[in-house]
Amino acid sequence: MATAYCDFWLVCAAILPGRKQSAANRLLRQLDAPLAVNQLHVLQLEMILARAEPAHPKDVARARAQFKAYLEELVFEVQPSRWEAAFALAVELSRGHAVGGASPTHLLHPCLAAVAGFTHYASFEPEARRFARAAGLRLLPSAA
Amino acid sequence: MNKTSVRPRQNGRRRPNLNATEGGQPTRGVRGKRPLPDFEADAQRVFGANSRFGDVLLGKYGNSIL
Repeated sequence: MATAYCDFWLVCAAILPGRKQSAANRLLRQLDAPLAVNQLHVLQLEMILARAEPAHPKDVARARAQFKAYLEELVFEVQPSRWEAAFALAVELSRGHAVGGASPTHLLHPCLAAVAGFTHYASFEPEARRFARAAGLRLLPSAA
Repeated sequence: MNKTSVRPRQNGRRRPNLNATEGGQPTRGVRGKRPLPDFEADAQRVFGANSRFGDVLLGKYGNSIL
């Protein structure tokens, strides 16, 4: 059975208004609810919103409330992760592939997906998609 | 006061319709596989039609997170 992991950047693109939102919306609506997220998604979202809060308090409050509502409505569901296995795979892949300009989370999200048994990795991020392919995942969209 | 007439609100805006359906299936709040809601429509309702907050957030602060 095909199952898709949506990375942090895709979740942001889907729920927040911006130039990638239409494409993210079209991609995610091919999938079924609930969309699995994990505590790394939650941490990254909390951190980026906290940094933006002084300059954009109203929009940050809206974003927090909207994400909370999506969790309550089971549009997204926070699921447990196999952290040790994911980090071990991330270290292994970082040694075998040119990391280029990738951040650790560009590597960690695909590894979390792979060790959890997802079949597909949904993302618009070129670096994350490269590592997802290396981890044996199929990509959504198939070309980006 | 008739409490059933009061709409639940979130940041002063109406909450999403939990009874919304697509192809006869509920899109929210029900366990099991079901269609996802229209994120773009939700964002327009919550942030306003011309908001580009996602671009601001990721463009300005995206490099500062993990």
